[in-house]
Amino acid sequence: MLRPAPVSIFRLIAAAMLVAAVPTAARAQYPMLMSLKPVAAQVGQASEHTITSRYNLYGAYQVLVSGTGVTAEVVPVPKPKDGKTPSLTSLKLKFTVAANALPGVRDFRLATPRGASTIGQIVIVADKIVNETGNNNSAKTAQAITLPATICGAIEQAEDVDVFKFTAKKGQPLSFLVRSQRLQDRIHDLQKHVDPILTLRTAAGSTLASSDNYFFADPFLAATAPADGEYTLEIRDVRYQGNGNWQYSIESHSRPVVETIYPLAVALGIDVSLAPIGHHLGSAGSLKINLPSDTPEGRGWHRLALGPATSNPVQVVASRLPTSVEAAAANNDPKSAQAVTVPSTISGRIESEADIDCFVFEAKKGQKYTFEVIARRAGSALDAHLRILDAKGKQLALNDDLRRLKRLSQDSKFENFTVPADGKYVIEVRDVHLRGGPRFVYAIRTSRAVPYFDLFLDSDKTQLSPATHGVIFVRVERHNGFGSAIDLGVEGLPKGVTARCGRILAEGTDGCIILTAEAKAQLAIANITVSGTEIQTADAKSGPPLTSRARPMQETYMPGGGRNHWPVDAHAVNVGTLSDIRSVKLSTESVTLKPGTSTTIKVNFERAPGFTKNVTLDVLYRHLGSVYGNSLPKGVTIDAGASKTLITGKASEGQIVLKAAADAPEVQMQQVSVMANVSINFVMKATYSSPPLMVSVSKK
Amino acid sequence: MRHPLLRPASRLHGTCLLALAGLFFGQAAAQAAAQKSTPIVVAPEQVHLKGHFDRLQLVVSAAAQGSTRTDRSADLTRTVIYTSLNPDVVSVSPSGELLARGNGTTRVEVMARGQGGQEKNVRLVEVSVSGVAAKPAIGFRQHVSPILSKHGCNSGSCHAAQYGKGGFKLSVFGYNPQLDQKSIIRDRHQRRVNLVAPRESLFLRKPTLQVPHGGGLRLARDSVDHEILVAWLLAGGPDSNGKAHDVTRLEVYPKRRVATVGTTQQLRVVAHYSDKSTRDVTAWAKYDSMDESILEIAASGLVTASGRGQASVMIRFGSQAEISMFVTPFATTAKLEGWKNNNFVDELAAAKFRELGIEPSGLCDDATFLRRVSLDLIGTLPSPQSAVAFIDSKRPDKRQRLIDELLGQTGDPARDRFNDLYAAWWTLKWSDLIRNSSNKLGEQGMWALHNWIRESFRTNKSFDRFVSELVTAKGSIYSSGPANYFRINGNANDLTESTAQLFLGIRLECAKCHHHPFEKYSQGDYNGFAAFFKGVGTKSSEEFGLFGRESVVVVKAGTTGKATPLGGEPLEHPLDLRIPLAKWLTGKQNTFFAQNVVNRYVSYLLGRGLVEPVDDLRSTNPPTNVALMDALSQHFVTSNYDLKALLRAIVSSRLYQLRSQPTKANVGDTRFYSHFQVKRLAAEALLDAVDEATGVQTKFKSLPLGTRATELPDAGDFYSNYFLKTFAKPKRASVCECERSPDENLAQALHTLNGDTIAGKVANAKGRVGKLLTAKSTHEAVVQELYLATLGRRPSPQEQAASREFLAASPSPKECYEDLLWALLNSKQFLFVH
Repeated sequence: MLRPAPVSIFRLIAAAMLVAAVPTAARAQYPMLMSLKPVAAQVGQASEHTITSRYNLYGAYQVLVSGTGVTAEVVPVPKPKDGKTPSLTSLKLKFTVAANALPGVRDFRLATPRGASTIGQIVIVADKIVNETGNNNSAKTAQAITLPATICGAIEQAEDVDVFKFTAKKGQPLSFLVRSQRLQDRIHDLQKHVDPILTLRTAAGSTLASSDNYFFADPFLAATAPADGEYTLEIRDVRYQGNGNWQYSIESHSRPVVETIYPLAVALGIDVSLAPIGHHLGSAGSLKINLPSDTPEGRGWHRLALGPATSNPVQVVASRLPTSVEAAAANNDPKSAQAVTVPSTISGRIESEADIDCFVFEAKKGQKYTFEVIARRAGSALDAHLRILDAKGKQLALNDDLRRLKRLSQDSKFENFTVPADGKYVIEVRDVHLRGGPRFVYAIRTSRAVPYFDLFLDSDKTQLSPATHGVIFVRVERHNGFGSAIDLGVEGLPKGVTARCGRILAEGTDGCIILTAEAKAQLAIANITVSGTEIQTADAKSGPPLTSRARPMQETYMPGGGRNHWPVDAHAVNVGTLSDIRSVKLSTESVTLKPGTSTTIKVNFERAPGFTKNVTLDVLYRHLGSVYGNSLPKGVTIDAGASKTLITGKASEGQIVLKAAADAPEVQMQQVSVMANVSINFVMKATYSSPPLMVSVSKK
Repeated sequence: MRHPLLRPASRLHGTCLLALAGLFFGQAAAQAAAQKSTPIVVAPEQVHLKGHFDRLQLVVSAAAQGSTRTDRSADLTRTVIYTSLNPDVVSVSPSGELLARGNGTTRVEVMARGQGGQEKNVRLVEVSVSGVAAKPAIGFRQHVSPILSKHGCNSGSCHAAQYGKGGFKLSVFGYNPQLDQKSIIRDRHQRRVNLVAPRESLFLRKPTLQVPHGGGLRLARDSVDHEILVAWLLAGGPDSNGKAHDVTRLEVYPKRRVATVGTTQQLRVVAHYSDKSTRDVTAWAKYDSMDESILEIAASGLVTASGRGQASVMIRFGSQAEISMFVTPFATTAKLEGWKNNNFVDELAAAKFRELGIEPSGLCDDATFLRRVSLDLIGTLPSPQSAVAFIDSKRPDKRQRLIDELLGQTGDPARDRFNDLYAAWWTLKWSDLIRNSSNKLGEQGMWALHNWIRESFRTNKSFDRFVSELVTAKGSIYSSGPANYFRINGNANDLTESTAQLFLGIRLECAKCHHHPFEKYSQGDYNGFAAFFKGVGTKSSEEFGLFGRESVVVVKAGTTGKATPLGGEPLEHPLDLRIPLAKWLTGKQNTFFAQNVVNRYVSYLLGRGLVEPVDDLRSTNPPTNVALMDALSQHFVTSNYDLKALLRAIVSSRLYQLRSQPTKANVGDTRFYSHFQVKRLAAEALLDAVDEATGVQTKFKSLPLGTRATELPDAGDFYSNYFLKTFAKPKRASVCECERSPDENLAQALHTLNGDTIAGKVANAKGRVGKLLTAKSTHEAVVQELYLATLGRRPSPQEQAASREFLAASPSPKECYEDLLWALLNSKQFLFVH
């Protein structure tokens, strides 16, 4: 979750200044954060960082940072003497990290008068920050550092090579963890990503070790100094490409590094001893953990007791289901499969190359189960390959990769497996590439398959200005036979903002929430929570309705002009200053269509003075050929030929013609937004919503 | 019984009278044998001919000791007199060819006359004949197809051309006998055959030129082959005369012969079939000289040694091929004065020198060795400082110490400073062969593969592991470098051909469409090998983010197919057939694996492979020094496929350290390493050498200054360089070593003489000459450094004197030294490894 930092008086000053100073056109360009320099901050310290962006950061007044223990504020910018609004694409942020803050990556976002920024990321680290300085492009000009340290720098241009030198004693453990490429998925408009490579060399210049891709595209290098002396550490893009936004941090130290644990899944509320898997562990012994009983189920980052010390944060899978661990005996085929009960969470490990793990359970005909391997997402090296077999070894189900939250994972999941007959069944897991070793740990969550649904928000932020409306589209993914309609709800709106929550029809995939900022709304930002609740029909079985919390998806400008999404933790609603479109009004608040007929909705919007850019009217949220939000009832479409949607110059009127297919089913009062879109770039647009339009389809 | 189709023996062989004479004095000959004074050996001594037209070649040799034949025994096959004691059972030609004529048993007398004709040596060969019947059982597969092959009818230039010839199409080398039989008997409404009057068949009238034939005269009308074809047609042209058995191997006699120029040797070829039967196929086998400057071969299998050296005759029949090796020494003796073995390489090289009568050149000097071994092991010139230190060193073991330093095997980090250069140099070699290129892999995949290869050589990964990782590669093409092998070779056929050629030295392309012409490999062998790769595919991944477009190499489990290694038994694996393939490929039982690497490395270091072309290992293309190949391969296997150990063994040998100047005695040798074979510097090493010599580094596009040409990861368009292109840096389009052309061309000469690259570097004020002038070095010191920087040696007194004269004649010292450097860079001593 992104949490708002304390609002300072600066916010009010900035707001007042901007209301007076912003130009009258093209204000819809919310800042897109590109990089933070340095990209890391040390625990227990306050430090200044420079954020750079596309579009203007001027007037930024608040920083939201995810998690606890880290806050940030905008370092005030001098007021311009000429009274004009400066165009700032970089400014200073001051991050304050509590001593007990969990190291790792945090999201942050800036609130500005022109809207909430895209997401940026900062790395919280244990050791002091050393910033790259001067010409350090060769061994001769290497920058001297002292370990431990977190080196921060940038592969800022093509052919850039950053070299650091340090001394080490013979036998000294050395580890270097790079975070760079992994910080770039959420950068909204970074068209090419870094692929860093690390090389450790002796004083003679001979390569001691190198690492290219260890944690996905980021390197990690563990070595032991072979002799007393000086060493150099080199980082570059493997292709020798560069970009000013390619920031990196290298956590460099001699401490143990725990990469993952075994067993991976842990029951709650009990003392558990875990084997650490990683580097320079020496005689560190086992890890101890006791997860509180209210720990959320699933993956979470924890620091564990490692001997007298505390480990680096490591992912642990918390399980409320009964847990079991793969036994020492061979379980490589259905005949030797280890007996387990279901539902449960099984921890295991693909011990060696070509190892196969089999677990057998008993089930009754008609029972339905879901099997999910949690491994790669939890830091395992495993690329899971999951099969369900009958007792004779015949394959009944298979899954290699898992697509969840619109993204592809190398974990596996098979949902809604229906038991064909009473008997024994085998869960078989292996690495798809037949690899194995200590790092190939996994947890298999076996559960009864029940209907449920996932919700996604497109996108991760809604921009409002006083007296305007904004729209949030919510999309559902239904699972295991879930077929009901869903009522949408929202919490945590900023002051002065209200919401009209629509629904997702049983026949549909999308619904919308229309937000309204009151005319006197002040600059504000808040992270909201969107949820959905099953609309139970009269004949539904008893029990509470199913609910689900929506996951925001940040839109990303893909190379070539495509639009894609990356899951983020929070959706921000921002109230800014008046923008290019001051209002969008409809000729009617509701329409009722008979099947086979059409109706016209007149649209009138107010342009800001001097704003003459094209405005596109639409009911669907789309880009190129893809539709990302469509809350129209089934069978209702836009009559493109009869509609007038491209409004140019100073014009401000258009119309949307909706038509109902001859077989359109009856629907009452489905909430729809008529949007006025203004392009920011080829992919992104500022969207202004009308008040809710309720669309009904009558009986034929 | 004698078949009516058989013409009188005189029509087939001009030996009738002799045969009759044999009958007359057979008894006397037997008595004379007891009085022999010139012993002979006849092979075989017992003969069984089976069926019509069965033939057998006798080979008669002078016995060396007692009744045994040696490699040096003279061939008397065409000088002895043959007599069939019963021509109705068997006839015999003057060249010793027996022909079955009727069922029964008899003997053939073989008589050698001594000088003056008084002394005789006689041997009797027992002959039995069976299976001669009224209607000969002639089958297409057993009898006709070999005749078509022998006479070239089913070669690619004749009726096995893509569209055949004259509408008549046969399969290449008869790989599809069913199709061929139908082409003859059934195609075009049987217009090619007359089964009632076979001799009138177009099929026979064409090759005998009774009607015009584009292929000319191919078959004599009175030949045995003609009669076989007639008999076949008379029998209706059947596909087979019973179950057709595959030829499993050929046996050639003699297998090896040491001869003198002008010597002849008759060969005898026996085919072994899958049913354990054998048949003399000397008459139907195809013969090719593998070096026509040394051997000539007649269609009858008679070899004539026409030049000095070592060469083989390739014999083909059915689906098999075999060789007979001939050695014609350069001189009768080789003293090898001063020769001292450094290791086993020298022992075996010396044995070959003695066998061939070759005197090797002497040892090269220290400066030459330093430059040679530096360029060969790390692709880099020695610096002037290291050259001086090495040349002036008095340590007796300095060459060995240098080798260990260059290989990074001293154990002292300060001395093992060349390891990265070693890795870069050999990465370049293998990147060429594996064909790492951004054109096919994109930038990121190319770098991933490059970094994996380089890390493998940096850590001296054992070669069997290197190959196993490559052949069984899986995972992300960005994170798992070897996975890119499966993108370079995008389908099972490409993988088959590349893997076989790269790691076995076997060229399988031919077998994709037809039986390999020079090898035992069939389409079935090809497909069996390709089956190992059938299940390999890719899946998508987002581990490199939304923009990564990473793909992941995976194997689909359960892919079926009879996967069979070349010459092996089918292998199985439930999940990934490449795993047993890698085990077989790199297994110690697979001699091709080690020999392939050894041959390549011998070629890289000594300028020529023991087998040439280096990636064409086959039984019909034997090593020039079989013992050396075997010993080096065994050494490589024993060292657990340690490439550095292999390199060390070769460069430590005296053989490697010989002078490149030939002597009068060995100037004719180009194959046995009697003097070091000069090699042109590879394009990348040459450019690096120019950079080092001039002190001006080349800046490659998109790579930081300081990146050496030998470190370039790519042959694609990203880092193109005109100099490298001119000097034949390969585009990595082929797995063949030949893609890097060793030949010089005019463009190269013009570029070094007049091109911008060298001229600019020589005149660069920050270059070597500029720095020497700035430092106000003495003339002698400047000249010495220029010689050391380019040629790795000090100038001779004569060269120093000449340089002083040149200085005096030059407008300025700057021009003098720039011109001198230019001249040195254009000298052969600089452009070649010598």
